[in-house]
Amino acid sequence: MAGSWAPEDFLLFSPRAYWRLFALENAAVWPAQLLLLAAGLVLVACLLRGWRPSGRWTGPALGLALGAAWLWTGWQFVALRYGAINWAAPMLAWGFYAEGALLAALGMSGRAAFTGRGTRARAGIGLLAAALFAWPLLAPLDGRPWQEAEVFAIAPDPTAIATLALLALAPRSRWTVPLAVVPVLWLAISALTLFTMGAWQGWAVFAALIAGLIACTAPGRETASGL
Amino acid sequence: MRVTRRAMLAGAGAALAAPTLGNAAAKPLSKRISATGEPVPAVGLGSWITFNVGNDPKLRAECRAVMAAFFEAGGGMIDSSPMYGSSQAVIGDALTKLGRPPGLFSADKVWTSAANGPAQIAETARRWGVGRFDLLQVHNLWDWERNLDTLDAMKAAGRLRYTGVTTSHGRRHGELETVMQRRPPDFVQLTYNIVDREAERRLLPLARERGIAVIANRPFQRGRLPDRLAGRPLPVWASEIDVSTWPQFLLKFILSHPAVTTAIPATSRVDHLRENKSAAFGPMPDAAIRRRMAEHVRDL
Repeated sequence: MAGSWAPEDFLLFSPRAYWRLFALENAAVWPAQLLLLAAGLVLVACLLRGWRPSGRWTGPALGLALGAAWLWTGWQFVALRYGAINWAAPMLAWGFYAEGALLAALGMSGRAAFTGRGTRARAGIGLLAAALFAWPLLAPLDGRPWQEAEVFAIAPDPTAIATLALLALAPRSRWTVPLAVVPVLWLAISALTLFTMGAWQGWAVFAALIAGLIACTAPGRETASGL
Repeated sequence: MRVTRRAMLAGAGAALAAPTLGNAAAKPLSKRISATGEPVPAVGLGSWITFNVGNDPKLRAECRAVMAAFFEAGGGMIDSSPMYGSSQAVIGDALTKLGRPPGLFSADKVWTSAANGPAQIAETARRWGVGRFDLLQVHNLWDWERNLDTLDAMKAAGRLRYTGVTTSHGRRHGELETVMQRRPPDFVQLTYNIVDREAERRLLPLARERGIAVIANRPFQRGRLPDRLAGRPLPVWASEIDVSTWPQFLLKFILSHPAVTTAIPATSRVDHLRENKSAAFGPMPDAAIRRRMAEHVRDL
């Protein structure tokens, strides 16, 4: 109807152009996906067996790796790939750089520790597994090719979900909320974009956002101070 | 009311009396730009969403195929904007790869403050790979008075052929009317289709009165209208105006308005492009049939 705006009127691109961004990025970094999935598998298996990285190197290494994932995803995917079809994306990438820098700085400072236990930590491990292993399945579940799979540290949504998951594994600290702001905002924007595209994946992102918020903010048993 | 061949011919006659050219069965409809009398094909090509495919070589090739089919069908206006993401670069890339075929009426927009307008126009020209645009429009009336100063100066210097002002979604019609009254550009672009008909009340009559060419955007409401009508049978009388598909039906309604110069449906599919272009062939509906078309869609 003339004189009224529909949410899709603010969408600059077609769903097809959006999903193809993942195929292009995956092709550019292949076979890094295999290494990332293998590393994720080892990490989740260790966490399930009770390992909690808080040592002199393991905690900070995880913080640095997570920071690097945000910097890379923000630059390569959000600013360059997404920015080619959405002129607002390079501005959004600044949030990724800020998150990456903060995570890297905390990692370097030796504060990164993922020692949480109990329900909150178990929710974090479940969410981490979803980000690492369920998100790549969304493309084929949608009838799209594997080439469009969303992989942690390459695509922004699983990167943001995994970050909320690791925050749930970290003891609550004054850094918890600041570190959750960018992932939460990104997931909200992503869910809105997907809903506007008419994509059911918006519900998956929305569910992960709610689960991540609950997991991050819920009280849990903590064995050390951390992020 | 039964549509008779006589009514259709009378409609065609009325259309010829209006700024309309050539309605022969074998020749697509073109219309004259009021300011100069230059003919332009009635069915152009929009680029909102469909051509914003970034650097994707596969999708760029699909856009190029659509443009190739467009030029094979006689070409006409291709419209874009700096707001449309990578659409300008995709058009420029396709034009280069297609060897800059004849038949292009290049139309773009300035979508910034007047202070930044010249730099944006230069960047737009670089992306298209054109030295001079046929038409530059002030996008959504942004800083329209001062941006029109820039466009008028370019036209006076021979660096631009036509000026224009745009709006969409039926927004800011009052302001557009002011522009058309106070400082008529060569073109206005507005939303007009079989269900969004507010422009018929003031803007389209004013365009005829002031000698302003009209570009109809959102002819399909971004695909919503054909989607809504899909699966429903066309009225039996549609065949009498050579309409066999809903998109043809919707486009003929727009093109047959005497004030409308060109419609700019966007598509990423060659078959849809050809279907859109086919709407410019055959008899055009007269006022009575147009009324019947609108009532039919309204009642579905």
